[in-house]
Amino acid sequence: MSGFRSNPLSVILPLICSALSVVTALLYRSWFIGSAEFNQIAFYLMIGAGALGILAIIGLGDFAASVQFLMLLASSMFYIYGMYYYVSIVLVGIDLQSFSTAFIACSALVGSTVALSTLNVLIKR
Amino acid sequence: MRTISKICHVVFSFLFAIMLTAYFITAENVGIISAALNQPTSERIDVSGEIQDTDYFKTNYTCLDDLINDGIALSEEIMAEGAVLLKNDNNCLPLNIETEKNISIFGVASVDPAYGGEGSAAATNPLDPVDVKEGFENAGFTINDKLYGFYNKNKNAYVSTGYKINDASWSDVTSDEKVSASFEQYGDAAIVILKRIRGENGDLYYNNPSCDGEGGNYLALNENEKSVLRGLAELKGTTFNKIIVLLNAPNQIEAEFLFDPEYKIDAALWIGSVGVSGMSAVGKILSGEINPSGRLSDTFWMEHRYNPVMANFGVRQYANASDYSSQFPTTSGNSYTGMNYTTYVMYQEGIYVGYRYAETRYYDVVSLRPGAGDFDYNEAIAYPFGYGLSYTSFDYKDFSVDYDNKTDSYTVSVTVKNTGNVAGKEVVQIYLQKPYTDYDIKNHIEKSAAELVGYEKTEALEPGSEQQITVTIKGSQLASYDAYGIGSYYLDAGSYLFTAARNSHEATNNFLAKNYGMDIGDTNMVASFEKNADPITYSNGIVNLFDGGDILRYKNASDKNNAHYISRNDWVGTMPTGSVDIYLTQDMVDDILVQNGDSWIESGNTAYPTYGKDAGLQLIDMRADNEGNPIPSDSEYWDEFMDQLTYREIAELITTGLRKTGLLESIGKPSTVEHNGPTGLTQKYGESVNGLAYIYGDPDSSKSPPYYPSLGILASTFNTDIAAKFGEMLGEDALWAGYSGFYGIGLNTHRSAYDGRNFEYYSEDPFLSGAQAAKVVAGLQSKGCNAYVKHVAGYEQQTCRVGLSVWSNEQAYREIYLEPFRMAIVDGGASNAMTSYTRIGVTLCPASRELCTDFLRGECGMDGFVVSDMWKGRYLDSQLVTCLMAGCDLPDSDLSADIYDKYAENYGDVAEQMRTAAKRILYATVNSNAMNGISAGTRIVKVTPPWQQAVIAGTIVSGILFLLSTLGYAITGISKRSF
Repeated sequence: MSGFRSNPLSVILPLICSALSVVTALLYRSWFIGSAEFNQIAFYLMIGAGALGILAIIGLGDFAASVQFLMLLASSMFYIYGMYYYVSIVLVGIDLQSFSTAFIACSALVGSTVALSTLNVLIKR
Repeated sequence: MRTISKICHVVFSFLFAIMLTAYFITAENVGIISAALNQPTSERIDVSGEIQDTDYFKTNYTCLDDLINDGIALSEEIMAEGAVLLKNDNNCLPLNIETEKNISIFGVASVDPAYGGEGSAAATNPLDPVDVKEGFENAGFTINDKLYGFYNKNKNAYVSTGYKINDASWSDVTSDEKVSASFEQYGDAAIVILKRIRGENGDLYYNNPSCDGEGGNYLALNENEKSVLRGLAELKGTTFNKIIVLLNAPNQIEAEFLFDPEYKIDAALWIGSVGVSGMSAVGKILSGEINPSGRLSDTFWMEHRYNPVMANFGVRQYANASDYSSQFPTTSGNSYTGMNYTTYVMYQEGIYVGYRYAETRYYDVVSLRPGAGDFDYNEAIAYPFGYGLSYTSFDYKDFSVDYDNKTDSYTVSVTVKNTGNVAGKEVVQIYLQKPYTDYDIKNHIEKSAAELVGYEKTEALEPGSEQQITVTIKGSQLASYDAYGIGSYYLDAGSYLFTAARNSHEATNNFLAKNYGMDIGDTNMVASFEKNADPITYSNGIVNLFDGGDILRYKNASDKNNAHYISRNDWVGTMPTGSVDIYLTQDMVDDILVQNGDSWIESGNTAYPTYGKDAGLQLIDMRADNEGNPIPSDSEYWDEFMDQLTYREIAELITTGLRKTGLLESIGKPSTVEHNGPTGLTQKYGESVNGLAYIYGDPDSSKSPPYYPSLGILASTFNTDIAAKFGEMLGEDALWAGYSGFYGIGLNTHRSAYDGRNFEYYSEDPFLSGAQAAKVVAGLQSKGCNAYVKHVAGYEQQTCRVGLSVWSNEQAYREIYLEPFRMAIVDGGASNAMTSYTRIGVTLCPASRELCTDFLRGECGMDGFVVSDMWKGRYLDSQLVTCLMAGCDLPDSDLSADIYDKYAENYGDVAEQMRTAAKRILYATVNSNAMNGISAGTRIVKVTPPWQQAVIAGTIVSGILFLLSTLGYAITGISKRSF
């Protein structure tokens, strides 16, 4: 917890990132499980990144931030890989003419986890 | 240093992640991307050095400019001969171009007409069409510019959006004083254009509150349109001399308003969707330069509620679906389209589609048949099937029918004389009445009072001149399908009547006159033949195939069902009163679910075909034998050829089908483009490297081929010569655009006017559809482009289309829904077929052996291959092998060949079917224009297109940078700790 005293952001940010990552993973699963859009690797990477946030509490903030960032970046890519066909369907416009609320919300959450974890890497510790 | 390494680490991590993802995504879509970028994925190398003529299918054109111009001219010609003059009171039309040329055109469709429908049939880069203004001005009219400008300026406010018809009201139009003041100057005629158009995945609304048509009906007028008609009627005689309505809709607008005296409409013309240049023809029809000669390809109803189909149009859910819903997958493998498991529609009307219902019910009412009930023909029907007016008149005489026993055919002959004042073409329609007997009643065979069995259009006859028309009718056309009796085609004993008539109603009246001595028809136009019962001649080994699609005969149906079909024996008792209740049973559920996997396929068969044998044969060697004769698909040479392929090659070939067939280097098979229509090719000419446009570097390569009027208009020409011309023009477009297959012979039936894709299909009448389509197919395939008849079968609506159960009886399937496909294959030679998304009963169409193998191949003799409709996102990959075993050879998607790894051992039956499917694809390819440019000395090699090389290079470079930056970040981190 000495890390928290000297730089609270270096602990809080990874924890927020963890929480967001876990929430995103659970929502992603509940909305898309069983469908072609659900990518299991993305899900597990999000959960793993969420778990890593705990390392920030024991002073391994740098390491956690970096690995969390890589895991969330990778999970976002697997997420995109799972979703790209759905996006193309909407863009063609025959079966669907607009994106679902679930997709928009999930994409926003995934993007947020990546942004937050990027910030987490870049902050000074 | 640490900061720099951090930033580098982040940046290169993003870069590498994006590049790696892009690599995998693009690797799955190489074909589409390469096509879009015009970069080939293979190249041809001539190892022989010999010069040979390898243009197996030749074009008649030297440049796209000429081809496009001819296509545009053909589009106009189709409209010229297909537009139907419905009403022409007091010879309102044609307008005198000298004295009646100043016209006002009302309706937002004046600036935004329906050129074509939406969905897969829409062109990606459509040519600029001839719009209303241009079309009318070219015909010599002077358009009210102020009114036109009003609609143009406010187009976005008034165009139809979603299911709202919209348009401007009369008060909107007249709110601008300058516009109102202009009416006087342009008052020779008021032309009102009413537009309706939909497309794929969207049926028209019939009674939905979100639609502003009267009663939530998209095919009724909305209040704005009515206000314009009322406003014009008030000004008629003072400001406007004539009121003319143009129905710019492939789906029939309810026509009752055309008779409403409130609106004072003088003339009406049905023009469907007009294509790239149909408006030119419309202008010329109104000016009299063209004498309209179209005849309706569908019945025009006063209101669609009179059509008994409407009681069963739409979707029902099985009455007890909730009892079984937990057994069905919650999604189909995607989160959007959703395979349907518990929805159905019942074609309760059986064969009584369109005029078959209207004329038969009328006939029975007039002839006082018991149970006919009340049916006022004039109340229900605005214009009958086959109807159409002309600017001249015709008389028929010298009608005769001769039977030739040797050929078992009837030669119908009639002389047509132009008794009017201007040249014109007439359509002679030959109708047949089959006897409705006790045998029929007992065995539930339904018979229409009149059915179209032949037609011919005259040349343009000058006033006073005449032409003898001869039409040949096959003896087999007299037979009906007896599903419940002998289970095959059956010729009933009794009197068979032929007539030559101008439309279906005139035909029916002729039959009434003949049979009952009524003074409502012309008995001189009727010939009668007595036939004995014959259960043998026309059965031809055909047996019932679709008991599984008839809820009354399906073996696992619930006894709680209250389903029945309409019967002429008891109209009143069998007319649909609301939708039918059908219940699921556990056996039905099992039948549905077994298709989702391969558990039904027995393993243990270790007898596999030969693989990888070196016979030194290339695909081009299978085009013709040493004497130059085509090698038939059942030749033993094909066995020798197929033995060369490996299991993996076969698996890849039969899983690569997204609007293509795949490349096979080892046997010199080129990849091919198989793409959409049907109202014209949808892709740009230069998009495929296989096309002449790309090969020659034609300057017009970025253009798309012309698009044509809706196919109902093509059908309404009743002109097989034009149909042949259309097919050949599509074939030319295919050569230049690089298509080797055309998903474009749309042959589903206009069962109701509310199917969103009606513009892609021909008619409610199977004979008219099949006869026109057969000519289109022949023309198309003469240029080496394989015709795909689609969608086989039971696909007469868009709602819940994926997995929707269609319940109908076998007689209706054979005589109505499958007959156009049969004719297109047997008479036209159609090579391939695309299945429908729906189910026949509970069986998915691509999983129906009865459809894909027994009917298409066994009965019709189709020798190409069957492709599913778009696979990915609709079907489960686990359904693929079931479909393969049924005879659906290729999914319309690019799937992983790994799907077939499981069957590499102990599934000899699957392996045999894989080989059969691959052979069919290769057979179709070798007989197509895909082989143009390929000789015995040609080798085809895969190449990595430049764009993909760039992606690979980028991925490698970014990966190296990522590793280095991560290493640097780690090292600076360790160094920092050390300090």
